[in-house]
Amino acid sequence: MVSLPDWCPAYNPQKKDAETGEEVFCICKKPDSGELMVGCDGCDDWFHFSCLKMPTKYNELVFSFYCPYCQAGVTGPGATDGNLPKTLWRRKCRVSDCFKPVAENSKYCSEGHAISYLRGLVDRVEVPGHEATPVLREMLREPDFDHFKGVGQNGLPTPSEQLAPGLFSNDAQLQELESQLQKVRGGAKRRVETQLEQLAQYSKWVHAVNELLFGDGNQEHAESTSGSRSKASRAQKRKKAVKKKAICGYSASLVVPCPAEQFVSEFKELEDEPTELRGVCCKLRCTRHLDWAGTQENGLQFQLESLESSEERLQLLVKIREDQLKLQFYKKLTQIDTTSIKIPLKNES
Amino acid sequence: MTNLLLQDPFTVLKEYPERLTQTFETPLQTCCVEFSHGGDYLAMGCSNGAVILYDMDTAKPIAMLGNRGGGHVRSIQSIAWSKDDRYILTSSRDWYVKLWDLQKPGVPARQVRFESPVWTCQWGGPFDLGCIATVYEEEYAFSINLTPETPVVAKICDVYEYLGEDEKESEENEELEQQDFGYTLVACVHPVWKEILITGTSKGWFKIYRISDQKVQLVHSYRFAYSNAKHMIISQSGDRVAINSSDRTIRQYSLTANFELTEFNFALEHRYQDVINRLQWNSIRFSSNSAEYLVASAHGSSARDLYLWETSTGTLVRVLEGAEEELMDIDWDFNHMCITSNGLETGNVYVWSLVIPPKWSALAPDFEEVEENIEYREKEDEFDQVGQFEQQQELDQAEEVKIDLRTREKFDVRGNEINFNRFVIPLDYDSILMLKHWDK
Repeated sequence: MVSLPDWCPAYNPQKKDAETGEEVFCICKKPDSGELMVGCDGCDDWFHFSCLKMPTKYNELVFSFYCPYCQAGVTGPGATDGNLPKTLWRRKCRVSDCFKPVAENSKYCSEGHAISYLRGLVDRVEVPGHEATPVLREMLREPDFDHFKGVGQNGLPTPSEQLAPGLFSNDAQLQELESQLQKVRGGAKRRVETQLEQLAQYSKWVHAVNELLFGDGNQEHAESTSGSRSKASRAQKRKKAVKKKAICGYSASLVVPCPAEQFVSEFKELEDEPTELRGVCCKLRCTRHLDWAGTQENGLQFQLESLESSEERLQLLVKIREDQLKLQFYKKLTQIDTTSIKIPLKNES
Repeated sequence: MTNLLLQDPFTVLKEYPERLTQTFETPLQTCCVEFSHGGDYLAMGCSNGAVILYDMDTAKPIAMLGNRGGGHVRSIQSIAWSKDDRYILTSSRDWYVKLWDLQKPGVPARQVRFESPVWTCQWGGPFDLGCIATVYEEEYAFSINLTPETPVVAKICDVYEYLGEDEKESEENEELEQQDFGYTLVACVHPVWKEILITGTSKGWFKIYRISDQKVQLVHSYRFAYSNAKHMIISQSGDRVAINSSDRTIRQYSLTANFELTEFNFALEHRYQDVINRLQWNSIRFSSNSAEYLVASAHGSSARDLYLWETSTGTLVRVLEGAEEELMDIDWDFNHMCITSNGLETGNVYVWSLVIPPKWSALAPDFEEVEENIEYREKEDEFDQVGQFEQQQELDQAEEVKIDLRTREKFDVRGNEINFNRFVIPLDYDSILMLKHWDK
């Protein structure tokens, strides 16, 4: 239940003046004196604008009006079903002293007012040291209306070099970000990729050696995995290879020491099974270097991923910083602007 | 941090945490936990190699080590904070030891690769910025000098141990040579005698090394068991050592040495065993200073609690309950008096601490706590004017006493050192900005 406003007297159902027999209206219970009134959509009574503390200039903006009693649920639809109605207003024209409702799909009552409102805005623009109109034109140098509608959606427009010389090139933070980005795009990624390749090559060599050494037992799975080289199958292969006989094959340098055949013959020449040959670990069940290939591959892959994500991140940071700089620049412009306006105003008064 | 002086002293001065108060449910499987020295941050090492730093005040993650590249890719084995909480050492099964500068936690400051997984890594050794690492199937521990851009690694072994086969023949060293100590698994730098390093080996030996700039000297060796050393801890005061070995026993020794640090003596104080279930112990931790308590987590799916013993008598004083799974690594934050441990199955991190009830009367001496509203009856002389002058004088005198607000206190009420500069991890504005702009 909404209570009545302070200035509104309690509801009085009286419709006629007891003495004169004249019809009375409104909360003031006075006869019609020709003053502007509005009809309530709830109780069909009429109300003075002045009695309801509404400026008469809102006359045209009323969409559907409900008197205080209907809004409070004393009379009208709210009294029966409890849904309290509310007065609805039309949207007002953007021109400040125009109290007409807006036209359809517009913020103005008429085209004339739209033009005069925007003209007023353009006239107020003042850019110290520059002529205002070209600056505005530059900000809005859009080829057509569709582009113009998109202004502001892609961040601030970049000021031209004459307007803000060295805005980007003089900022140390931005330059730092750019150089980092260059570094990532340049050598860093390629280096990791070559390392990955080297690792893959070496793994292949170890696999070939194992194939030659213990080929008979391993043939089955060699066939099954030769087609696909996905991560999962490789992990599987490793698992299998551990189960079957295979040398560990780890070497610190990851450089293929000699062709697989030569290595195998050298390996077989040694009588008791060697633990190391040409820097390659030859233990059959090596717990020490367990999963060396997987670990290194993961490590390199992780590096590659993080390089890619840092490229993305740096691009974003560059954009953010550029936006910041633009914003700072425009802010500085407008700050000087307002102070320079105030001074002549004071002189006038 | 709350002012502990204003809290109920009987609760504040309790010597060990009592209740499970917090559970961190992390998306990653945590496998090792470590508080910063100030207790402001908790580092969690995860099984995929990530290390996440949580802020203990807000219980939110604030940094991830290596999120800009160069993180670990296999499970983390150990985490160690530097004295000023600015640097972190991590060791992992991906064969790397990495040093992180929290000023720039995105990338490692230094890293060293070994030839096999790294067991542990701890601060210490003969260098200003150096650490001691133990590595899988390595006979000796390693000392790493982290000052140069590419860290320098050296084996920690006595000259006699290092001699070739021929030289070992000489009579003098025969005894030493015959001993097979096995692989070095754990290592601890002594907290008081900084040049003393104690290691534990796979064949159940303690070895005490004395490390100086030039040489490494094996000063003492002592066999504690015939099995693997799993964990070794030394109390802050340095006179108590506990070793957890794979024969299901935690042995607690008192360590004494002569003044020149040439002779050492281990005296067995207690052996902690689970006599009924014969469980192994996962991890152990001492309480602060002279280590009056020892806390351990037990192996096996039936064990879900932390056990806390008094070290002087060897009696079990408390079982910390609340976790619904087997617990692994333990750390104890003495500043905030809380113990944390990570669960094996979910990878959640549990924190036990003290619950201090609010005590308003501590704020003012004449403050009285009442159960319900009572009508106040003015005392006979309560607002009398007599004696006001003397009262005023007393107050003035009290005000004249200078209160020192600037000198920091050296110790908190629990006796922990607090007068050191704690590093504050800088806010990562970049990430906040990026989060805001990611969609645009």
